[in-house]
Amino acid sequence: MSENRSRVLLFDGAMGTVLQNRGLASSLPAQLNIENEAAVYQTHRAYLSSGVDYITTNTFSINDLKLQGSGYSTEELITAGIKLARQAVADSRQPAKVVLDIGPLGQLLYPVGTLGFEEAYQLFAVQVKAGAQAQCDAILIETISDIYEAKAAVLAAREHSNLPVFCTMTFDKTGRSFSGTDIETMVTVLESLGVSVLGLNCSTGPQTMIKLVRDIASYSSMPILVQPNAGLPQYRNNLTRYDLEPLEYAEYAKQLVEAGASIIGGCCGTTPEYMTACRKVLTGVQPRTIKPKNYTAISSYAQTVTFGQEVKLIGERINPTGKTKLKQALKDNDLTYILKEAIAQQNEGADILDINLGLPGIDQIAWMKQAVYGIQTILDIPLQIDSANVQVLEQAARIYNGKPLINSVNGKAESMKKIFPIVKKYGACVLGLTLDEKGIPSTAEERLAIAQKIIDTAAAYHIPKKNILIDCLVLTASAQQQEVLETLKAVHLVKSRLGVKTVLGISNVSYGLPARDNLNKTFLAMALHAGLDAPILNTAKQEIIDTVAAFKVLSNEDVQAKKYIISYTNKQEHQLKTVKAHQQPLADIVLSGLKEEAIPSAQQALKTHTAEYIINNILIPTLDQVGLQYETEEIFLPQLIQSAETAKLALSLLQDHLQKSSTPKHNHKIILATVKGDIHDIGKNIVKIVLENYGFAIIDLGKDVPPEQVLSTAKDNNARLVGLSALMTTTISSMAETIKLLNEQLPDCQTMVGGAVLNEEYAKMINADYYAADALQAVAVARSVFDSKTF
Amino acid sequence: MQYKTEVLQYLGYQGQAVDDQLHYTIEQCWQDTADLAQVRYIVKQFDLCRRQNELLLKPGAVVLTGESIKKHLAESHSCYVLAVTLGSKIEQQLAYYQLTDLTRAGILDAYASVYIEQICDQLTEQIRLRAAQNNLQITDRFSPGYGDFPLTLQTAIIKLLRADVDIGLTVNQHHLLLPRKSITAVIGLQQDSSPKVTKCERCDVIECRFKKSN
Repeated sequence: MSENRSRVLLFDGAMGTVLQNRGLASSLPAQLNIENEAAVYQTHRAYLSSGVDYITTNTFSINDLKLQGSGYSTEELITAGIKLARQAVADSRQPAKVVLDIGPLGQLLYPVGTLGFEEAYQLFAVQVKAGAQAQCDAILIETISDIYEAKAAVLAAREHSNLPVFCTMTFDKTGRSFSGTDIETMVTVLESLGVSVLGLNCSTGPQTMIKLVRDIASYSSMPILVQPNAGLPQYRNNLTRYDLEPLEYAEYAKQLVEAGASIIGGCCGTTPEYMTACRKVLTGVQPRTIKPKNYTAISSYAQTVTFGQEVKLIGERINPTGKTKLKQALKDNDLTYILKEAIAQQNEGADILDINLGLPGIDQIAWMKQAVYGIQTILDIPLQIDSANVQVLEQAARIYNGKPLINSVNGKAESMKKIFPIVKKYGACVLGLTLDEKGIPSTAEERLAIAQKIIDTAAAYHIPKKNILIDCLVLTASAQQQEVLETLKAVHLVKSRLGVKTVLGISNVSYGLPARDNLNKTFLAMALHAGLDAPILNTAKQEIIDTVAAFKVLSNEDVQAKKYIISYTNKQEHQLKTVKAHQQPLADIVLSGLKEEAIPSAQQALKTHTAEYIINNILIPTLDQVGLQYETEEIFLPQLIQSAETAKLALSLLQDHLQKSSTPKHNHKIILATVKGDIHDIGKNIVKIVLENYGFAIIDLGKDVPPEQVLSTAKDNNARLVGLSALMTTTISSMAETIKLLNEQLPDCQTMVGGAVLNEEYAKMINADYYAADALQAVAVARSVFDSKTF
Repeated sequence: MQYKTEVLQYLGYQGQAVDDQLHYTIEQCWQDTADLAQVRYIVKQFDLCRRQNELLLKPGAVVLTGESIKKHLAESHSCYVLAVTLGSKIEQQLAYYQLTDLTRAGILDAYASVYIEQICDQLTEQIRLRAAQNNLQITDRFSPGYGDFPLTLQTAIIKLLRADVDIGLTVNQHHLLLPRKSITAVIGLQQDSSPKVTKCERCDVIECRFKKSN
């Protein structure tokens, strides 16, 4: 499909519209494949008479979930649909292809929704297998508004058939899909997954698609398919009509071809007349030549980072090597710590985050998946998946929402054999390290040779050179001083001779020497000058950020120093402001909820008191006072939360001091979860922070948590108290089920429940031990269960 | 500002002293809501059929179950069904704030709830005006979850309106609307006006200090 063609190809138009016009409206049009074969067959024939090259089967958006209770199976409706289309083509004696139509599942995928990626994949796989079995000629995945769903569908299509895959998505006027994907990201992700054709359908009329198609053409090396609606919808007398006549539509189709489309079809509101008009108008019109694009890019679901245009920073901090707090967080099951590190790095200026969770003794696959899901929920920064474990890389690349960068492969035959199939399958970029069976060569030329070998071997796996980045490896100046410059020479050689982008881990250079930041920033400047595209570094270091900002000015990347001027003018003002520190007592700070002053005030208090004293004699009594104020309605909810957040900040500092002074600390563990099916967790998070302030160790399982997971976590941690929340009447049954399981298996473990749809009476009804109306009552429950007042 | 009063009420405000900083945060959250909301909706009219004590939408044959909806639509010959969503961007921001600024998350969450109610009010008003042109009245908005009108009906409504495909509003296997800040509702069309549904009747919260006793 990727070759350039001399004529525009045509898809058919809408099936639903034609059936509806014949008075056959149905919420499940695909059932007509069995109940009214003639209507479907005749529609195909009508489109074939318009001279289309492809007809799509009447199987839009049918899957095992949507068909529940319909009396039909996905397989039988697809088999019947393909048979009708095949018959229509045979009878028409035209060389048209039969394309299996696959639409969206109708569910949002986890973590935005609750349908798991693998479940989605399986639902698509059923459709693909049925289609391949019934001998369709190609697969069309269409009307997709979530790139993650597109990924599940394309993977299913590629793994369960050898058929060409077409994929079209829907975009609104703003140039984004419902889930936030932009055009560049759609092209980057779909191309990397190996579709044969990509494009747009539905959502708007052809008018607004012209600009979008032009954008697609500027990024895509693939043919573009466009299937617009017949204009914009208008509702009259309870019926939807579209505002374009066939000939007007066809004129727009011509403009779409001029914008870069080479295959045209129709969506809602189009009929065979529209396609006949298109055939007429497009005869003799030649599609634009498709030029292969060779940029190197990775994506999240909503953002694409292209290497080479500007220096891109890869944040290195989510890696437990040498990081005590991260190691502890992994042991404590504390995903929040990782998410906060991700947010911090993005705010500091990282363009990409490296994620490495290689710590012995933890389930690295599970952690990597959790981290990827978690970051995807809150940020749209692309990720570099980093692991020495091939399984971890594969699993993470699979569930990653976008096109990841895999870290890493190297010149060893064994490494390439294991890593390249994953890179190919998931359409990732990969970082190639210039070392092989003999180790890291000392000369730049030898490293260049390894890079060449990596690129050549990748080509044998059909991995294009643009998806490979090379790391020429930084050696420490303390041990191999004479080779520091060889690395930079290698960067230059790799870029100029091989034309690939380069990455280096900067901080390694200073290992074992004093004043490391000084060496790091100088080496960074040298490496950037040598042509380094993406340094991996600690974005918290101001010297590093300053060096990059300065480099961008001096290398003419930051044109007219615009960004530099804005960022450094504001910074000076900010510094002036922060000099003025208030020194109010900690109790007042907490009562007023002044978050920014929590840490300075706690530091001040530590000058005169021990951490233990401050917690027990200042913080806890103040929190009690806040609680009382809330109960007597002297303050309201946001003020309660503000005070709790302020206390939490102070507490985090004080706890560091507690650990240092080795005061024994009780470890009263409480497990919190929002029950399965429910995703309203803000109330639970308020309870969490308040309990933490009172010294309870919270294991937060998040939302939509299955009963079995609550049970196994409670078992593993010997938990005496489990708190469950639900905000929907429909999920109270999940809560009841979780409690039943806990009562059966862990009779000594107590349960407390909360949420808007509960009260004391309901709590009793589902056999919960306690009901907590708010965070303060949760504290009272916890105190009575553990029979404790404070730390 | 009407929104703000409602939002504050949602959060339990009863005239407590609010300092400048919190006041500013509350103002900012209002702006955030307006910036983040990706309002999309579908409104369609259906005929109401009554068959052996069953109330059905036509076309589509969705059965409206429960006594409350039957009572609510007792005088109606047809109805509007609507589906409204604020989209997923605001969800992502809420998840982000829950990690970085829980106070702001709480306020934004309340704003989003009030905001979508207001969008529904505007749509209801448009429907009321259209009905008035034909000398017809409308009932109050009635959503799954009010009275014994079951939440399980969300699934049928989303399917009926094709809301998943057309506005990205889906329903999961627990009949939960996703994105979360979304509403579906039914509005009856009839000759005479009908009793109103109060805010309290619409709401799920059991232990609520604002609940009107009658």
